[in-house]
Amino acid sequence: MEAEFPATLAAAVTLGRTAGVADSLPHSAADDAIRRAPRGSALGSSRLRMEHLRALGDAWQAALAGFVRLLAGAEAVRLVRPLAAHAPAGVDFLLLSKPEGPDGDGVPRLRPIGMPDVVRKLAASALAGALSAAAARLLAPLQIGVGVPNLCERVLHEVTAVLAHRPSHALLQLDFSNAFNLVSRSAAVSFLTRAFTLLRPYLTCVYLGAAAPRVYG
Amino acid sequence: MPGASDGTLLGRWLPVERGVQREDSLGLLIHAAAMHLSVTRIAATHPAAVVLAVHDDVVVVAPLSDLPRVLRTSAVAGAAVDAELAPAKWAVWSPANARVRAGWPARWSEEGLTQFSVPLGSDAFVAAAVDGLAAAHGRLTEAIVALPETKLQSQLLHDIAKHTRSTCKITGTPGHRRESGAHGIFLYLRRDPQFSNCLQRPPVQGKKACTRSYSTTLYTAKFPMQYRNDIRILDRGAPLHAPSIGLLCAQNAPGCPPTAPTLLRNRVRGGLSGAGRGNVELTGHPTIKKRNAAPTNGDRSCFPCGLSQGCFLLFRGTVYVSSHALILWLRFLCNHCITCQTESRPEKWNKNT
Repeated sequence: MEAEFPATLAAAVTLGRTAGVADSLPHSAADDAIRRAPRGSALGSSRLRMEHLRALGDAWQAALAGFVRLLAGAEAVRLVRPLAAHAPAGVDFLLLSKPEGPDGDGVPRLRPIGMPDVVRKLAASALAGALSAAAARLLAPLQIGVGVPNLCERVLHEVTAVLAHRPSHALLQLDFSNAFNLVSRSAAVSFLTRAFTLLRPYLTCVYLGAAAPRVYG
Repeated sequence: MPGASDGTLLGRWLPVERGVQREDSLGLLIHAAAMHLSVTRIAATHPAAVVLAVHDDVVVVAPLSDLPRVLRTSAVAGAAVDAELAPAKWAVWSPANARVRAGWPARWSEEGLTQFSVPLGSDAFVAAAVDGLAAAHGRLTEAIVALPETKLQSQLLHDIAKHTRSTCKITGTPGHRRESGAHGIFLYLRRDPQFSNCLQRPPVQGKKACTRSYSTTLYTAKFPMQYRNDIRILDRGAPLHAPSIGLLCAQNAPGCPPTAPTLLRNRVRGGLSGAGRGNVELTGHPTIKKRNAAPTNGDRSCFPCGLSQGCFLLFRGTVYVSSHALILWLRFLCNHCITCQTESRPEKWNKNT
């Protein structure tokens, strides 16, 4: 990665130093994630729903916030054994058949709907909330997919303004094939962990874990 | 593969080494970060091009002669992050009405492009789209009015879901494309993304309209402006409302270092007072009024289907009362179920529900 994108990775390190993002998840971020967690979302591998966690009451909410911070922090890597770490890192899939029928090889085209565990989702939401503004600064001005409100309007503003100013230019729309499912994890993790050390434990646990232990039965 | 004694497979781990986990709250950031690497390479290789990306949807505005090189760079940069270009989804539009070149691998559109369901097109193009949307809106309204009252709630949702499947394809006419920006913005601004949004009170509706995600379908352009309450006069490059003036625009504001090639810094006058609360004016045009400002007489228009505003408010009130009755009924059921009779149920739940 260093050889492929040296300037971008160096810029990520520079922004990470000045972004003011803490190395550990703030209490407020965990509290906000718990408070904003939607009700009625699908249950994950633990079969817990957010309603179950809310039913614990106020006293347990603080404990839950602490557990969320643990999952999002370096303690998760140190304390949770690899065998147990794969449980919250996994995702239950609901596979929906795409309406256009089977693929060329006769296999049905599927649209997977992931259902992660609720506690891990809380940890990810807390991290995302804590990093939203800094991530927008990191990716600006080229990539506006994260932390930028009214992103469609922004693209439209830019494109129409530039085309009006340079009418001889052409507008090219590019798209990548199934990029969400095929994009390189190591590239993304390498870039993000350089900018935000806060993300390193979570990404290590969820995306860079060792080979999953085989458990049957 | 081991399993039960009868040979059936009991479980299987599928190790995933590429891609982002579905429904991961950090998934968007991870995906955008990976694509950012390739986008930065494209922008660095072609400094004359304007490159913008929303995840893997990349828009490049560049001279025609550069486009083949842009494609080659994109393929290489994408491959570096394991992203493969999908030529079938490429599209090019030239406002100068340039002809398609021999051997060009992408779709060459001569009628404009639809960007995230937002049109870039001419007067006729927008007018046709608006007429179509207005007709569709009228059909939906008539269908809702014809529904039996007892099935209003469920049928309303069903019909809205069915209706929103239709998307709008908008094209352009060569002679008026220089004006396309203003109309594109205008139509986008005044769209009504969901019928349910019409049923909200103006402040709520304003918030929903501002937080609409991209790829939502377009709707009528003749919606009463008092419910849109943000912009009255538009021009090319005009900010739609104060929250849209954020980080990117601020970086290109007068006096700030130009970090992106945009015309906004040439158009915005008067400075920016910060994201979310800026009062920005274009040169000679009072572009933005305060949110929830009082409507003017010119805004009191009817629905495109001919439904008067009074009828609409009456209908909205009916639905509001029906919704309340449904909520009360659900609350009654909830208070008598086993789960809610546990002693640990906090008192505040009763208030929240």
